[in-house]
Amino acid sequence: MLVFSDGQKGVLWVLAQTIAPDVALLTQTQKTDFFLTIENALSKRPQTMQRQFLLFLKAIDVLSVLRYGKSLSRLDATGRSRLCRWLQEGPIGLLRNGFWGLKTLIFMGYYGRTEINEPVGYRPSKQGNTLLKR
Amino acid sequence: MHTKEFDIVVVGSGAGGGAVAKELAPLAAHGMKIAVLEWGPKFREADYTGREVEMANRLYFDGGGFLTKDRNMTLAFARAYGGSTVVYTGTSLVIPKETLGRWGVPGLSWDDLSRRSQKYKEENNVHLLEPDLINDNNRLFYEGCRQLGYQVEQFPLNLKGCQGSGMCNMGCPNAAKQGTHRVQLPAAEKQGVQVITRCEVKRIDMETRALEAVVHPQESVGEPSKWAPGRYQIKAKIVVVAAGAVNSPALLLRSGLGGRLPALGRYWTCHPALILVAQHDRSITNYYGHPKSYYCDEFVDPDKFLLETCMYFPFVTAKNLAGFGPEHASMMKRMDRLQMILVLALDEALAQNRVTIDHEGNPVVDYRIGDQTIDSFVASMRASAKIFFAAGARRVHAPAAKKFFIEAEEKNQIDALITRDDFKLGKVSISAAHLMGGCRMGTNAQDSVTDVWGQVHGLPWLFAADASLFPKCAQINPYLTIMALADRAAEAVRSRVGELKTQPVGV
Ligand SMILES: Cc1cc2nc3c(=O)[nH]c(=O)nc-3n(C[C@H](O)[C@H](O)[C@H](O)COP(=O)(O)OP(=O)(O)OC[C@H]3O[C@@H](n4cnc5c(N)ncnc54)[C@H](O)[C@@H]3O)c2cc1C
Repeated sequence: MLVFSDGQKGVLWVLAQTIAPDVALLTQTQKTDFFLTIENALSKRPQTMQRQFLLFLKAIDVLSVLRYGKSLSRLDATGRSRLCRWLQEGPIGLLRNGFWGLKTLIFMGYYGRTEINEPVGYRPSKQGNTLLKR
Repeated sequence: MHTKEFDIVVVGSGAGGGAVAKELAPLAAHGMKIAVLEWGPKFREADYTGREVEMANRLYFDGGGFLTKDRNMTLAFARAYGGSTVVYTGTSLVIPKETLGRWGVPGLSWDDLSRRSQKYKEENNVHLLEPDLINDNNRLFYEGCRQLGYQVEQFPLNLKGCQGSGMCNMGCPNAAKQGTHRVQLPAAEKQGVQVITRCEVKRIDMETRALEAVVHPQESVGEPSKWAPGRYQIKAKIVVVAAGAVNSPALLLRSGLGGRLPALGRYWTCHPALILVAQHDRSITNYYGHPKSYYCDEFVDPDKFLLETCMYFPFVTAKNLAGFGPEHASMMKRMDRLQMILVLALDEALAQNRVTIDHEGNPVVDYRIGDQTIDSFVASMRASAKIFFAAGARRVHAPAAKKFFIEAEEKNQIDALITRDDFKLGKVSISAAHLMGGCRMGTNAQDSVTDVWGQVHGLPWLFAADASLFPKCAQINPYLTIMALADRAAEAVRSRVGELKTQPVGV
């Protein structure tokens, strides 16, 4: 089972706040759960993929220094957003794929939580048809 | 190592395996030993919780996010008693005559396939949903298409007692969808076919016809397997492989057939898909009711894409939007205002797109999103944006647009705002759920794997009977065609029954 170090959690959290800003609303327990969901999802993937993910987190920090002269944690919100946009839209396919994977895991950790349903206006019901016939 | 013997073994219990099991069941009633070996568990009703991530992990290979080799696309296919029919949406279309003509397989006639498809339509209670059960998400698509003069049709669906949970793709919590787990497999079991769940077939020995399999231990959900956990050698006179378009070719490759069948794994197609989303000014009914009522085939020629209605859950929706940050969050905050369209690109069957195996024998899907598919996607985003706006949407998100939102005021600039230059692989979420090919049928072993009845070339005891048989893509939702092809394979197996009686098990 993959377990993030505090440092890895730190980088991931900074990125999570940029990618899904509402993660800031999570309580401490929910935040713990957020990391656990991502750890679980990654643990089911091959070891090479897990290593690549951790390497990608490191690479983002290095790229931040190379592009903006500051580590990710020292970049302001606009800078982080610009860096993420470059990863997503930039010329390097590998980085775009990596960013997509990162984004997907963050969305899973946040939007995959059932208690997020209500705040996002999603109120599923097994008897949806009764609610349809208003 | 445990050993077992059967007359006929079917690997996989999805659309193909389920159909074969039911068609062969009368033989079991007359004393033949028939088993279906299924990797996944049989879920109990209480296991369908409707919780998105939990169900994705329970039901799908890799939680629904099986990545292609270049990681530009994810594939959705299920592992369960019933296979992907547990998670499909239940749209039930007969393959168009023109598509079959394009397939060009001698000996495979449209009359035959449509007659067999019709049989499964009846078995599966296929019908059109009553108008008062069609939600706004679907109705708006219909109205948008009609306003623009686009051809739009209602989907026939295979439901019995649908309560409109909208959770089809997480497994119906109301037992309404008529997949093989509800119809064909229970019918087959009643007649004596044994369905062994949690049983993963590793390889087939081509000399002895023995299957090597592992029964996995019981997990917290699902019924226990009928066999104890452990390794098994299962001897059979006839083997029918129906493990789906990823796992059937992989199993045959692991079994060493790659050398004698150069087309094995190749000509793989999947209708690469995009989920497109628009936001309305007001709440609409979207996640209540059946999610998929209409499709638009206006663009099949020459743009090579289909549009269908769809509605997804929060996480899947979030990951399908290209982008992040406050705009993304503002779209996500109002799930009750979202309208969605699913795009299916009608991809070419190319030899280089294929299933291979890694050094451990696991399937690897080596598929490249081609230029034609990208063109289809760009055209589909433009067409969908027009439909959304015609339906009254406030703003539209197109993954290849110059900005996150296209506002209603900009609807006359759609073609300029959505361009091919802005379509970037990796940025745009591409997924696929219609996996086809890999054991394509045909006339010879050079460019196909089976004959027109699903029998593997040169091996009269080995059949394929699932989506892997498709020689090219279906151009429609494929499950009825899969069942019809599996029905043919079952007929071919039945015709061998005389030979079976005199044959020893294994060789
Ligand atoms: C979310 C979703 C929605 C869909 N909606 C529709 C729709 O509305 N209409 C439509 O026509 N189609 C739809 N489809 C597609 C349709 O479900 C599939 O095309 C169809 O089920 C494929 O049938 P199959 O028999 O080839 O494979 P599957 O149905 O996938 O069955 C294969 C089975 O083999 C088992 N297996 C694999 N490997 C092994 C092994 N080594 N040993 C033992 N067992 C093994 C798997 O666990 C699985 O249960 C949808 C698919 C998905 C994922």
